[in-house]
Amino acid sequence: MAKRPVLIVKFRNLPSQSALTERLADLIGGELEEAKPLFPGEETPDLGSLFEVKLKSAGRAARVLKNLEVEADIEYAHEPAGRDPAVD
Amino acid sequence: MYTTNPGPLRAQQSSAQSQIVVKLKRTREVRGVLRAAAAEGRMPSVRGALDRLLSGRNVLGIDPIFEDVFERGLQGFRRMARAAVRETDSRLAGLNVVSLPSRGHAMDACAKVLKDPLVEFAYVIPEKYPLARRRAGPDPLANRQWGIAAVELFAAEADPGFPDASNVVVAVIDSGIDSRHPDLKGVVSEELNFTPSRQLKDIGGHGTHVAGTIAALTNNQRGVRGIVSSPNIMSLKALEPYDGPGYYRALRHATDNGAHVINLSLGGGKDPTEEILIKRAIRQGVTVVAAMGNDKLRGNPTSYPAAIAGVIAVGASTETDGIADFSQTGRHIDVVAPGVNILSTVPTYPSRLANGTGYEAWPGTSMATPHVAAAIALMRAKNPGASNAKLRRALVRSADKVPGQTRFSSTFGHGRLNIRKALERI
Repeated sequence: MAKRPVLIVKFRNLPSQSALTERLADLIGGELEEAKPLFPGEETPDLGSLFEVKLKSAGRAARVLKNLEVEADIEYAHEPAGRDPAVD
Repeated sequence: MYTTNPGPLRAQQSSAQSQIVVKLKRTREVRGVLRAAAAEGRMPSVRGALDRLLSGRNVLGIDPIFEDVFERGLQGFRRMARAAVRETDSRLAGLNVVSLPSRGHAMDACAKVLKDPLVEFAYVIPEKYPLARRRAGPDPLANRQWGIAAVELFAAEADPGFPDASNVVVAVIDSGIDSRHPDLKGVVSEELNFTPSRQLKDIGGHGTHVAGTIAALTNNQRGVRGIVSSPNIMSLKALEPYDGPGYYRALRHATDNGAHVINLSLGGGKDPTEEILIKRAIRQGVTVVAAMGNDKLRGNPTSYPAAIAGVIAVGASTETDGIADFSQTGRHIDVVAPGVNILSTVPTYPSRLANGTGYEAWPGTSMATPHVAAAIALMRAKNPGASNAKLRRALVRSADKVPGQTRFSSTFGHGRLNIRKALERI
């Protein structure tokens, strides 16, 4: 599966989606193309704290992920695993 | 002298049922009639005698059945008459069909001529029916759907109380569905696209195949049939092309918008966000059914979402209740279901996996999964209050152990799906 310049980031808490969007901009800096809630308007921490992050370059994904993982307020960050039809 | 049983009246009478066959005896009187006809240059027949017998009976016509019997190899009316009377050519000579306006008239006329001493026999022509079974059944290709027979769907349908699943919504998160397919018309109640593609149509073909197994129309004189005869499919396109965020949104949409069952004929590596969304769906009472995956011969990796706790994981079985060689194994497998040579719908237009013929037989745990998703839909229809735990328990405990299997195995799980037994248990 080809690498995609998209990351999923989940925060441990949900102060507000706008606050977390700003937080991602600070953390990723110039590599960031766009950060937005995966489920805009969602108020439950489970889903509201999930963010879709688009990077400017796919080649930077590994480094950005490594940096995000060490942040205390981030529960996890990952590239979406590919999903293929299970037809043989 | 005899008559035949005219048989029961059918709603639509054929013309044969208002006709009688009459054969006259070879008496002097009949021979006289025939000779007279020949002498006058007419076809020798018993028509004159019948005319006399049936006067006042609304006769529409009297016709010899085998005129050619008289003509064959003979020259001249005299020889024809001789042949007819002597029956040298065959005993068929002298047989006449009398046409009457209705079956009632035919019955009356038959009774009348049978009383005449000139008549050897008479009968109302009985209807004849072709004895071959019709090739075009309610679903002409259903006899090639070995899978639905193997899971005892037909037996289940014959049982009293077979459920109507029209209120059960099955979400198919896949490559989309050709909802205009003649065997899927009206089946898809909601159709959304969660991919970056602008095309809602099933350009892969996979989702249409999956949907057909669950919900192809039954008794529509066309193609295949699905397991659920009154289906309600939510088509959420998230494959072709796959897009992670779109897939997550499709999972959430299904959970929050009334899906009772989610069919996931897809797989890949572990994905924490997928896990959050699937566990959320299960917590909210949605039953999630997923394919074990087809990479048994490519290292047999653990495939997700099948391996997520609470997901019903489905492997692929063969027509002989063996395991498909591609079907991945693992301790998380629940059951196997037919997954080789599964005939179902494919788009009526060319797609990545199909050529637009409308129907194809495919292998895959993708094909096994919708058998189970549909079974769950029926089970939920029968017992709407059943929890996921109860549904799973009934499903696995009702599965048929395959030959040689005595207990759970990481290859077959608890056995091969049996819809009839599953419905009995729920």
